[in-house]
Amino acid sequence: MTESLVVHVVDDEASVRDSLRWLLESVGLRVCTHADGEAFLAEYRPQTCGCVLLDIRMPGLSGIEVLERMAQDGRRVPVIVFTGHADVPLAVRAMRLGAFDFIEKPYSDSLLLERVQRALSMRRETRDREVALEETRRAYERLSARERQVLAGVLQGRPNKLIADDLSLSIKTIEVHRANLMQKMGAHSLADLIRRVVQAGIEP
Amino acid sequence: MILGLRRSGTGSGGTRLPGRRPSFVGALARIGLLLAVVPGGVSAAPSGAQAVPDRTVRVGVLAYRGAAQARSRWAATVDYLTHAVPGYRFELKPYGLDGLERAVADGAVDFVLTNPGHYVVLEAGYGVTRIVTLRNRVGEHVLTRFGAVIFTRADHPSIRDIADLAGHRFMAVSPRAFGGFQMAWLELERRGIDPFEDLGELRFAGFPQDAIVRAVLAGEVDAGTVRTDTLERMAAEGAIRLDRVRVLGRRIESGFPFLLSTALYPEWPFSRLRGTPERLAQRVAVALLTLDPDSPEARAAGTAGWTIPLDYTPVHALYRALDIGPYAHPFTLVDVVREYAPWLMAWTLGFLILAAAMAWTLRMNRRLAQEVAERERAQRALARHRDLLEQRVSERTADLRRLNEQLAEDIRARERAERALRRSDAVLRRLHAIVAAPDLDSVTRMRRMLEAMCEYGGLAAGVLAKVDGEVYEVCTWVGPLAVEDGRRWSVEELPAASILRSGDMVVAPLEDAGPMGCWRFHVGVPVRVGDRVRCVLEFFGDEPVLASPMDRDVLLLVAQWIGAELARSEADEQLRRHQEELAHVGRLSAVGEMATSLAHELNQPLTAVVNYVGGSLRRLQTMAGLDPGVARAMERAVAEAARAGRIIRHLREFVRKAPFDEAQVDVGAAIAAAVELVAHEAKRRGVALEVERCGALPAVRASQIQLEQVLVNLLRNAIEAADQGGGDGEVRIQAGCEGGRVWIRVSDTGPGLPAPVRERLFEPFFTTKPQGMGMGLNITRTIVEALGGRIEASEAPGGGAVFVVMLPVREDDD
Repeated sequence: MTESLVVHVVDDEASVRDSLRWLLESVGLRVCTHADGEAFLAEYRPQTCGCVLLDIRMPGLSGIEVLERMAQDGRRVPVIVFTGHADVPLAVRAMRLGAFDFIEKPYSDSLLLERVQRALSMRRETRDREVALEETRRAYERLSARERQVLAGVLQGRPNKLIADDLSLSIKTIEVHRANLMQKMGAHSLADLIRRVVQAGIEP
Repeated sequence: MILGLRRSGTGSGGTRLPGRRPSFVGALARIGLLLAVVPGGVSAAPSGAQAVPDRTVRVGVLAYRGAAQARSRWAATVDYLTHAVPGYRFELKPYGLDGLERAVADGAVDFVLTNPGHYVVLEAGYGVTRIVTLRNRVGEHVLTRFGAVIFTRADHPSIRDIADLAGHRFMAVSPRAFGGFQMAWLELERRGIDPFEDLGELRFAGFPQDAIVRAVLAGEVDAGTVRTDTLERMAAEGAIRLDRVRVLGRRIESGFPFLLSTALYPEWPFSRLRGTPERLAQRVAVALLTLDPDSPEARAAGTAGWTIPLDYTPVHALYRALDIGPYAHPFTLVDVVREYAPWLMAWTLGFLILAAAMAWTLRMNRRLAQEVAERERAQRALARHRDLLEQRVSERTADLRRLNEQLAEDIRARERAERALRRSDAVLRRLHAIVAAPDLDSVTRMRRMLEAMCEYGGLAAGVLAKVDGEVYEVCTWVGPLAVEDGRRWSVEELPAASILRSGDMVVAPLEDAGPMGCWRFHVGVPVRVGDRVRCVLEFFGDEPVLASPMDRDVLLLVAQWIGAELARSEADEQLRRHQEELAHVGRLSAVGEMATSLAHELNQPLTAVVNYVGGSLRRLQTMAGLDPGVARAMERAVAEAARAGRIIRHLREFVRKAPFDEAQVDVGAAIAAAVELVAHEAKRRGVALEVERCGALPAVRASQIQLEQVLVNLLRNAIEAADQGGGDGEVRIQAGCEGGRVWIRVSDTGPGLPAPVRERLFEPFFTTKPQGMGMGLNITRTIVEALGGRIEASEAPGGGAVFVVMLPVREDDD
């Protein structure tokens, strides 16, 4: 989770790529550059990708097409789009495709760095959440069949006694299962348990 | 509030579950909803009993002239957001400067609409981020930047410049007003005047700014500052006269129409808070960007909609220079980067020369085309009139022969007839020479005809006049008439009334002196274009002449010729206007496109400069012993590169073409119009043009003239290529509709597109033609992309080039 996120730069002009690397590395960021959209889509890994700096007008795959492909993958990686001029229709299309921000070239370096840091912190948050959900799902996998049945009863709001009747078990046994599953799911309270299960989209 | 928003994730997560077990899902959803309320402990705005309650979004607005004024200005925009972003109810919250800052600090608002100066403070202090920038509407102008004007009254004895303000009384809005004081403050500081120390008196009058203007003109204070356009607005309202005002430190910025004393700064931004959900901010940005500039919402706010966010660095620079707002440490930057200027000047000069060359070439082309058309027309007229003349002469000869037989013994009569015939023959030849003369304009031609007829008929004066309903308007005339070109009368006062009543030739003595002079004899004939009487041809004299049937025939013939000439010149005018419009679009597109290309080319290296210098500075700052002078110089280098970018942007905005009117355009009709325009060239080069329609063609949303421009560009290229191909060249245009897209395919039998050419085809200034500018296909692509379409080039299977344009069939979506 603490492994550092990579800033991807996609621009067809070598001087812009190289200078962006120089600028971003000066504040200790990890940078990966790509000369066109195809190369970027082939090389980037959503797990480590912090944000993308994308030029809108490039030969081959245009910036908009890159955004379309990323939207199809359903990955919520923040993308900062560069443009040479204030083209409103293009900005609207980019926004609809989920672009994080739109910056006109040439920009001031501090503005760019501030936007990149903002995008990275947002990405970190979403990634932390993704990791937490993944943990809940793995914890659920570790529950026994009995514990899952008890969990289903709990989620339906049934008291222990009724769950015991449903499963033809004693209340004591239900209480033991319930305590175990709370511990395995890492939940502090009933409300916490329900929140985790609902957020992870688990259906016992 | 904000908790309520974050909950949306949890809530929708619950409802997204697959519905295999309804009762269980229902329970889950209920739990989800319950949870949504419990952890935050916030009420979920219970509005409708069953309906899902809309989440409330608060928009904090700087109410610099009171809450009521802010509401009346922005309520429509905020309501528009509620409408345009479903699921949210937007609420307007007017605040003063401090109130708004507190609201931002407490997270009591989700969006902020405030002046650029205040925005910069909020950005630095609370991480507020601009999402769009206001396009301000001032009269007929739409501006995204503004400044301030520093002024005194025109007859002030001692203030001629900003530097003269020391020791004088000065008025501004308030110490924290951005346009109403801080902009002027910087200008004063630059001239060594500290407004709080060096002025005789510094008075703050608050809003409205009109009071400052009145106080300065009334001599209550010596000088003042207001936001740009205030003076012009008050002058337009009749409240002041601009010649009573003396502007101090006047600046001129290209494309900026108002009196100005300071730099220009970006307009008000609409911004989001750090905690505002990303998706919501995007939807709000899209909604504002797509707000129609002419909609009632935009009008109510006095704006022309919104544009993508501008760079607020100039505002930061101002605050840094004044050591206020978020900047604690002053900087006095050194002018080191002067050497930047010549480089930029060279680019600008080069661009201007190119633009001039382009305009000159286009004008020469048009003139040449007109001359060719003129000559062809003359040749046609010559042939037609030769036939007519031959026919007339043979008729006259027959007349003569009959006369000879009938009046053989009456020599005098015969002589008279012969004389008449010679005269009519002579006048017909003369008239024909006039009609066939290639280099006469239509008015001169008609005047010469009138002269010939006057001479022929022994008449003193002739006039050709347009008749439209009751109005009689002189087109041209000869002889001593009391008229002038363009003179109008009511037709009832004139002898011409009898011509219009009868619709035929009138030959009659005149009893009264008319407004055209005192004549005793009048002969007139209607001139028809098609079936309508458009003009009258009249002659005046003192003797009854032009009475013989032959004379009348000649007169009728002249009337016919004039009618034909009028019809022709009207048709020419229509064609010329269309071609001119097309050429105009071409010129505008070319200049705009060149500016855009240059801007792009320059922006790339400027961006690299900013990156390199910024990166170097940050590295140096981590080392010990950095010379502060070096750091300042590098910061200045970054700022200058950004300034160069802004200058380029201004230049481009200055030459940018006016938006074209878009409408539903019939693609078939546009193809037909474009083919008609290039048909002549195809014929001249011996290239066949084939149009093929594959099925029904729906209309596309475009500007007809731009679509024609695209097609004419492609067709001209194709015709030229087909001509080079040797043999019988052919250009084929096919069009059809597939999958919500209209496609138009232009293929030729020319030499085709080798791969190296194909790769660079759409680049500006790339051309394979000896005389080409290399802008045609570049413009074509820009237009097609602006219409949301795509253009592709490829090699035809049998050789030759193929261009395919695809345009979306757009229903007006949101």
